[in-house]
Amino acid sequence: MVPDDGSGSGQKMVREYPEAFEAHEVGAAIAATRFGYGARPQELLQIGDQPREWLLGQLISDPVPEALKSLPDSKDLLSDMLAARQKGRSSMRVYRQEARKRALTEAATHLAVSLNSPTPFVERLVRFWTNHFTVSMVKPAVMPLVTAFEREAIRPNIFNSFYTMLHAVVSHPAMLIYLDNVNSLGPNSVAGRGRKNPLNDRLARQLLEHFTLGEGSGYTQLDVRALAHMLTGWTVGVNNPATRGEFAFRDSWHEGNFKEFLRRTIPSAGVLEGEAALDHLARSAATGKNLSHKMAQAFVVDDPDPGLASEIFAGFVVGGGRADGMARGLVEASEAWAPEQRKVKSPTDLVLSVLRSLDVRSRSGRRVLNAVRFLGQPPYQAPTPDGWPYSSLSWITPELLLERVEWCAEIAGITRPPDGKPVPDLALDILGPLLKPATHRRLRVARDEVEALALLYASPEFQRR
Amino acid sequence: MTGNTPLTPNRRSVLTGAAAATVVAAQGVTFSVAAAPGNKRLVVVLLRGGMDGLALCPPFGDGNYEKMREGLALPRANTDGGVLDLDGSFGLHPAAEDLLPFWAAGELAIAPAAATNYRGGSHFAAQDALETGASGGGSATGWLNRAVSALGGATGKGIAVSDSLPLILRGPGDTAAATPPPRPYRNPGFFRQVQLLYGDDTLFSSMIVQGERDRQRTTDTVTQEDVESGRGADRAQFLPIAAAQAGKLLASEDGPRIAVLETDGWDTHWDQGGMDGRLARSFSGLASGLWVLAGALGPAWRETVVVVASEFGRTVKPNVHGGTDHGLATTAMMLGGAVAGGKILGQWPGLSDGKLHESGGVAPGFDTRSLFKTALIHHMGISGNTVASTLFPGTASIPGIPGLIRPT
Repeated sequence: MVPDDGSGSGQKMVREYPEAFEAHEVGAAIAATRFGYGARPQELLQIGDQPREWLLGQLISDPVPEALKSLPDSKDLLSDMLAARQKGRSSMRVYRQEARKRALTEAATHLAVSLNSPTPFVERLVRFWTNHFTVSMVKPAVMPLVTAFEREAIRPNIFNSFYTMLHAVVSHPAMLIYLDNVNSLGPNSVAGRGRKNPLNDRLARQLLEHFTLGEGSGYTQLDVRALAHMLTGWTVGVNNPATRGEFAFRDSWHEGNFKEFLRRTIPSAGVLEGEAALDHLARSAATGKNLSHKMAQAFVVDDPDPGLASEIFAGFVVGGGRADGMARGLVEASEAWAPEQRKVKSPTDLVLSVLRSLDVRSRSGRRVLNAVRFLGQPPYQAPTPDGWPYSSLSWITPELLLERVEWCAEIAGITRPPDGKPVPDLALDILGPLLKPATHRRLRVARDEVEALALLYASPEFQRR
Repeated sequence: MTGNTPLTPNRRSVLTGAAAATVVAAQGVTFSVAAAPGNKRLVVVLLRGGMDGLALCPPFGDGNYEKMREGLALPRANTDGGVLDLDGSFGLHPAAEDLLPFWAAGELAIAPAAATNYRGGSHFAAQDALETGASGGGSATGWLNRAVSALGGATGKGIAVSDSLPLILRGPGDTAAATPPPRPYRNPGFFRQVQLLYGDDTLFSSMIVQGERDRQRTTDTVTQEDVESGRGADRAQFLPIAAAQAGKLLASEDGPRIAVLETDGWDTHWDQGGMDGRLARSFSGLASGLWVLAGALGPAWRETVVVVASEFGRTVKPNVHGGTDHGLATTAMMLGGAVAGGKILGQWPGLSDGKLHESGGVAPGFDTRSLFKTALIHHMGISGNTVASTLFPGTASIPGIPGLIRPT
């Protein structure tokens, strides 16, 4: 690396730290950093004095970008899998290897979409909902379907009613396989009678505990069981060509008796029971509160106060429980715009924001994938159905922080700021008023460009949001 | 980190004849050097983390010492193995006994309640105040860098840097090496930069310190006992290695004239120990490091002034973890063959409850910067006007002390 004196333009002039910022500059920086994946070098200027409008305007875009529309759908993927399975073990082994490769390629493509997106807030919302409804590649049987699950159940529904999304999620083959509902039989059903432990209540349990009402909201173990009964028969078609690789309801697996669920009596009604239960759950205030709390945690602060969550909840209530209403509620919540950066970026968010700051765009997303893997968040591979944690302490441990800092230094060593811009200037461009004067000064007196860039990425202002 | 291998400064940067700075590090000790004309040597030793001055220089003559210091009070002077008596009021920690010969020879002056104008508890800001010489903060260059310029040592050429410079030496005069290594985190100075960056962020600063400590534990060749007792490395123990190298460089005819030695590991929030323990080992490293430095300088010691300073001191009373938290004034020292020492400097504010600084630390009775000014004006020969206008602006009320330097 050659010092820049040789460029002929003489010593590069570094901008002074501004004496004051306009109020809207704070808003623009927060919009890009807290609601999005960090600013590209010119982005704060583009957001200008309309940060809220910039975010709300994204909520009418197409959440399934072109780059994802050509990827295979889960029906085809599942048909391939079923075909391989029918051919026997060795063909299944070959299929698994191929499927693994393809799944990672698709995961990388999804990361590239988030990186390149002109609507980063939408991408954050997708990530939020995908994580809320975790289907993890950790389970080999579901690996080929995980990214398709996001494309089919999550993305098209993030601006819909929450019920629509919930129904799409719970009836998606990926979720049915991941939480073992595909083989859950009613104990008194035609198929289940006389079997040992025919019922599997994992999906029902996760639905109440995590997806909707939330732990401690007053439901009982009897409610879990009743919901599990209502969801018996919700499976994936295998033999019938009409439903092969898609959702199928098998009446002979369904527990036909009436159920007591959340102090209501549900008459025997086949597939409609589960749908009615989802509808009830999706409109419940407890669900709205649980979701609002989690959204506040994902975007603003680890332990949100009730005020912030209730503003998001107010958005949820509109139209009887809307996912996009929550996003609007979040944007309108005054506390979401507090200048203090209380959240730590997850590894994925960190990697994407570093690359965005360098104005990098990616086709394959390979590099992004490798980086987020290195930092401990392999995409679509959350260890448990509860998904990746939101709390800062899960991502900043002594060991993880050292690895983060080393990664920041590593990437600083192999890249340069766009247009040869001095690092302190770049820092002001992408962080605006969030950049503290003391950090700006550290960047100015850094030993060289590499160290300055490494320090920028390692700085609390960049690591936080 | 290179384990316990001897330090090898970058020969090229030393031998180019230009004003040269070399930073070498082992085990958290780094040193940097810069050239200047003449024979006078100046060494600044920075104890990063906030050194517990009351432990290094116990004011056993203060009637409140034992009561206020609680479990950390050292046994009285003149009892077997107790505090080493200096003047009947102040003493030295027994682990720092290598400093006694300097005191006896009149080459050591001690300011037991020294502070800069900084009054907060942030390592970051306090080290800035110590190193930039700016009263209000905001300067991006170190006063020692400006001093090198003022001495004419670095005009036009600046300081060739083979590694990361401490802020005290940074500034427009320095020029980065032509080929920085691709991985900054391999540089020992890089993580210190990161630590400074994290100064005000509680989560990040505690985690990075812990992370480094954990890693140090597994990679250092500290004694097995240290590892087993879970105390980790006490970095100042390695000061003698760096001091020997720095001393040799400074001693040579055409070598550098200014050096900065830095150690961290003084931030003793936990389990700092009393007569023995972590802090005692650090004092032992510091004192023998200075002793080794004097030895390595040989005859040039007569031309040398060393200033030892830390960004702040610690609370008088121990905390519940057997450590001490950020206080204010701490012990600063000036020593060297050129020093007219053997004296205690400044006022002693006392340890009674009402006399302490609001942090629970010792109130200031001496301005650390007057040691720096003394060294620059009366030893290095920089004009008082230059020091007042460009090195330590806004400190006219804090004079250098001519009587601290031996007349030549």
